[in-house]
Amino acid sequence: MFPYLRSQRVNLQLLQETSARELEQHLDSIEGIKVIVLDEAMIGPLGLVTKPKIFTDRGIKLIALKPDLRSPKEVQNIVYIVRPQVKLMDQLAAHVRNNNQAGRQFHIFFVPRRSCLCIKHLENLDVVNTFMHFGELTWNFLPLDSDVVSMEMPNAYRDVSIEGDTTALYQAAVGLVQLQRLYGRIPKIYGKGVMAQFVWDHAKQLAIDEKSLYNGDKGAIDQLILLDRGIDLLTPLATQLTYEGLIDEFYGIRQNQLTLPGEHFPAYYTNPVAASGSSGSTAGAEDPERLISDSDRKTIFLHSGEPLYGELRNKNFNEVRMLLARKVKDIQAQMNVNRQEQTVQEIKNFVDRLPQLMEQKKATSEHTAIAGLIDERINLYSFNDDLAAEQEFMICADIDRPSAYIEDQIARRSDLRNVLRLICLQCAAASGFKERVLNYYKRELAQVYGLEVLLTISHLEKAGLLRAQTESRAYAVLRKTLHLTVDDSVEVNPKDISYVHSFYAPLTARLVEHSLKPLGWQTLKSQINNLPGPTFEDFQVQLIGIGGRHAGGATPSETSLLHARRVVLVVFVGGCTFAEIAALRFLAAQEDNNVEFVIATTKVINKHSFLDSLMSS
Amino acid sequence: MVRLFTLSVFFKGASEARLLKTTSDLQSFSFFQRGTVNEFMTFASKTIVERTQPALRQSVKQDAYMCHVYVRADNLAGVLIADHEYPHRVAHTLITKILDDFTAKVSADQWQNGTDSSIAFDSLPAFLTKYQDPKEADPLTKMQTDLDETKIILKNTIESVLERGEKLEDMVTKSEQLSMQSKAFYKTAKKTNSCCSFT
Repeated sequence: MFPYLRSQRVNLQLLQETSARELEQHLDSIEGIKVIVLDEAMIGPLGLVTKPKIFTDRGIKLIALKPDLRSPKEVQNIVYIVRPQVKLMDQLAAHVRNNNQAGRQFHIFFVPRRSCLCIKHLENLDVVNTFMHFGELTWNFLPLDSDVVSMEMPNAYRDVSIEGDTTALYQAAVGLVQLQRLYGRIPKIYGKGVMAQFVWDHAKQLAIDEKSLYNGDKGAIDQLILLDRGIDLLTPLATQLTYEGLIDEFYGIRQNQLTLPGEHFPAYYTNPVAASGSSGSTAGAEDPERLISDSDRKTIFLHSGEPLYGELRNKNFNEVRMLLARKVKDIQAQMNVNRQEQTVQEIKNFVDRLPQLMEQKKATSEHTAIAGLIDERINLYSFNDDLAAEQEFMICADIDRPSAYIEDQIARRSDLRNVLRLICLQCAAASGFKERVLNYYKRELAQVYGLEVLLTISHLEKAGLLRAQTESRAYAVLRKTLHLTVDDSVEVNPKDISYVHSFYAPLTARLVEHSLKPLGWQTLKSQINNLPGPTFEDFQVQLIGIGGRHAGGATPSETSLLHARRVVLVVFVGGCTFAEIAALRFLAAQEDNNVEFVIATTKVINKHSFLDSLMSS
Repeated sequence: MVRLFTLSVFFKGASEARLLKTTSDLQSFSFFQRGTVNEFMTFASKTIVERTQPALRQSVKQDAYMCHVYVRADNLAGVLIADHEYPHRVAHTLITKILDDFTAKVSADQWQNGTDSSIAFDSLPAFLTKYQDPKEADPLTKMQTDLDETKIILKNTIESVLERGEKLEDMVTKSEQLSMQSKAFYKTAKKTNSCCSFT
């Protein structure tokens, strides 16, 4: 189920196996019949790390955590796998009270770390003694694909910037140490931003206790770049134009799975009775890869294991259109070969290739359907008008005045989330609003959406998305020096990463691109200091000898292997988008750069999910 | 039309061929012609055996007919007269078969001096009828026909497998529509102007 994790120098299947083994060991230490109750947020992540076989082999059923849960009588052990959230503890307590029978044991595994706060809360609810065991599953980074790991913490940025809760940053540091334990010491570190510095300081501290890191050779990863989401708030607010980005924005990709209403997909399954019955019959067949099945809609797995998706996902949607049309013609040609006269040998060869051809046909059909759905959404006026407004902001046109388009949207009382998104985008491009502009927007919003919106606005201000203008105009300067916007945008067969937003290259991606050059960030020193937060550089060198002397000048010799590609781990603290991932993959695909990326993030976000987390209380 | 007309077994003597057994199916000829045709065919068969060396097979074209002859090394000969469409291979297989059968049933000493009435061999008419349809009788032809039929069934099965899932025509329409609607995403008409002064 996870072979697609394996294809790069940093073999993420190792991470998956280690995490799965941890769970298996815990499960095996509990005797008797077990049932696992999962909180909503853990169902997806569990699927990233474990195969359903682990549970069927042990006869364990998986249930979602719901308030009115009843468990069958013969189950002796109920195991909860949950995030350490206090409000979940209430549900757990109620559940325990209802289901407490003689001989029944309750266990909790917190992911990623046991929380004293939660345990205290259970104490207050007086149920703490019924729990046999409080364990933890130290899953910090979960493998999403062969080059992406995610902590699956959608609220990380909000928690840190608005609530002041730095748990996510601490867990990221723990995760970094875990990665180094598996893949070896990372010798060179670069970073930018307050959150990034925090993560690195902690990781360094934690690593001091890890002897293994200092005794061996350098590991598979050559460099680490930590980027704070706060240095580039424009990119996550902009509409993504890559295939994967658009799918995520319109429909939401959850842990590599896309779920859509079944009627867009013709019945594929081998049961001819079902196919000949109702016309839009949905995928009723048992999908053995689902952990908790939900047979009403069609679920498609979207990861690099499927070759067609691997080709399409990072491309601009306009290029995807052409590619799909070409693929369909290609399949048509192959199928027509069958109609001609063939010798027995030719028929045999054709039949040998038939399963592969059918797979290609299925994949092409699915993606043609998905692309069709996206196309419908793209052709709406609202989409195009929003896009035009975004693009005007990105080129700094009339940026210091209230935008007529936004005023119009407010007057129409259109979706608040989108209006706030556009305002924050303008603010990011202007590097802050003049006071009168900000007040103007606040007034208009309060008048139309009610006073409650002011609370949301104060959150956004705390998070740094809405702010007053300072002396320096970081975005405007960087736009010129880093060519964030390009004049001659090329969407099909692009030569530059700006294709991911048609003409705008994500600031974070450009920073990474610059770091690959011989001088690194040296040339950008002055401009990069305009971005908020510290810019830092660090080394982790090999310790030799008993006295702990550091091997001098270890770094140049270690990284001077001209033939081997550099492996760079880029950590986005606070979230990253599929467009940013696509941009980095584009850089890796270019021979000249001689680099391979592994991307780590607290969560893969898009413009909707980013704002949702900031708008929720 | 594929037709077999006569089957005969001869003994090739030193000076002449001796007709041992014959049978014919002359239904395609009109009633009055049959006698003549029969005589002619017998004469042709006899002549061709006399003109063929032992241990030799021949197929001789004679007007609208084809004479297939096989003279064995022991001078036992079989002649088959058929039309042009009758497959040669089947004809010779049949002759070989008849001769083997004849040898098994009729002892060699009767060959030299036997006549049509003295020899007890009744299988010829049965063979004639059976082999009127060469496809059915000859295993090799049968196999070829079966193979051709199987190929057709196989093609149809493959077609139906290929048809499974979404119809190809639908996919083609959808994807063509998709590719034709491509519009560049770069919307704004405003040129990239340099923003107000910055430090």
